[in-house]
Amino acid sequence: MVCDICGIKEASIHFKQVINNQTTSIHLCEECAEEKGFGLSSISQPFPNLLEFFSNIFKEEKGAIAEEMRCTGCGMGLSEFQKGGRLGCSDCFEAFKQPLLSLLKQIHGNTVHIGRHPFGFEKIAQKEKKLKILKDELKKAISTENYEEAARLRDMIKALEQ
Amino acid sequence: MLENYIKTSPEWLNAKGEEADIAISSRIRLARNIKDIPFAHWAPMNDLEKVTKMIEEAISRIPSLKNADIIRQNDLIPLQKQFLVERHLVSPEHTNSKLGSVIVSEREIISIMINEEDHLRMQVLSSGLNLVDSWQIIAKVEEELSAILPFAFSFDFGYLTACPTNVGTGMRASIMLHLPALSLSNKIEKIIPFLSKVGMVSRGFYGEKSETFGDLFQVSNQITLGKKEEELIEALIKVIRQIIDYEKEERELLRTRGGIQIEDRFKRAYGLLVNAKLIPSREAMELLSIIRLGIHLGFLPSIPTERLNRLLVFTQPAHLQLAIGGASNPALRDRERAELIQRELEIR
Ligand SMILES: [Zn+2]
Ligand SMILES: [Zn+2]
Repeated sequence: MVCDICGIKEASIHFKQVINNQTTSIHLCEECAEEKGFGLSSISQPFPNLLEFFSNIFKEEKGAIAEEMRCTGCGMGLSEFQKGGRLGCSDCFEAFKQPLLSLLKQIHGNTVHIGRHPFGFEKIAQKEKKLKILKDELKKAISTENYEEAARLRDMIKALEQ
Repeated sequence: MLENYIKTSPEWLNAKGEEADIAISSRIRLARNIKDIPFAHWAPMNDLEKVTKMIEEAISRIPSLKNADIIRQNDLIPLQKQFLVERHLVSPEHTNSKLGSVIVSEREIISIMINEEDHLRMQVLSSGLNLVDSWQIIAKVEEELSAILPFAFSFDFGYLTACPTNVGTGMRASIMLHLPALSLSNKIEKIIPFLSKVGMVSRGFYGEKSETFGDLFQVSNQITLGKKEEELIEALIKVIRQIIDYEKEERELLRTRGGIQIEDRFKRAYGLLVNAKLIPSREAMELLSIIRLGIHLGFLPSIPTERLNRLLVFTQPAHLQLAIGGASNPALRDRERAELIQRELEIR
């Protein structure tokens, strides 16, 4: 998937935005995200000005009035989180992932948990790890046009996902 | 139910743990949320009811919480709510929860707040520098609950909490320190800024927003993400031991070089506490801090540390009022406070 701004580079940062009850996705490459002020290096500012950023994008591309970033799980908007300092539900971590990453880095100097896990989580964790490896291999197989191997990997992933 | 609490003293005030003269108490708190339900501060009433039911049901199946009390905020009058805060069983925020309750185990060692900003806030409170044992107790309770309740957890961020400052381990370990000598010499002002550099923070006797009084400092880990629980506890213990050593050095200096000025200070404080007819809350905390040090250094008649600990909590406004059976005015409270202190200090 290419970046929505430059249209050249591969997008690695993804946002969801709800406008008039329709979900729109935005995909950015690292450089463009960085330039707009919410790449990983923008640590000094806990919440980069996402609202302004979105309104710019939508003015330029759709001429629509931008609504703020909102969690589809609980309906909390980014500005509500910024004001109250507390998230609304587990899904907020996905919805506000980019601004959160810089905030967590600022608070904890870290963004990845390494402590305790819930009961029975090791099994699930192993499965997820295996899935990730298989998916990476699948990508490789497709890019090298090894379709036989790709089909085999796809079956394995399907079996594991059930 | 609270009538029983006013008559008994919680385990964490018994001054039995390691370094209990300086390290008054240890606390470890774990924040957890139930999967797929909005965090308590953001959840609709029916979700809060569901959460309460799920957690209370789970707790009834945990052996170590078998005889625990369930106290519901909605059943309490403001004075009783304040009592629970003074007792360190709930946070001030929890008293405003739309549907908050707290589970309290025997001798108030384990308590679990339901529907604070997170669905569960479980804590273990104990006397002295006792974080290692405390961790084992709370980790076991958490593990047992984890087998019954689906906790919100992600691969990247660990245990998901309403506030980003708690995410990851959801763990806050803290020690309540009494540091009168470091306060007297103003050296405490050099120590506190240093704490934030090593990922720790100092607060007052009543938590986050409370100011420091009575030379009491609550030191805790600030970081909760990216380090293991045991690592965070170990680092905190190291820092605490260092602070305790500084405090001891400073006390020794006072004992050997304080002269008649310091002796005068102790005896004046003692004289006030033993003779005054009205003692306001803040003054009580300050004077109790001074005599605690004076007793420790041998300038004043000896009084068991447990009794001094109890006074810190039982001279608080809601404790005094519930002890005499209901709300009273400040002047009457100051009198009750003076009498309580004198009862506890007279018996030698
Ligand atoms: Zn781009
Ligand atoms: Zn949400």
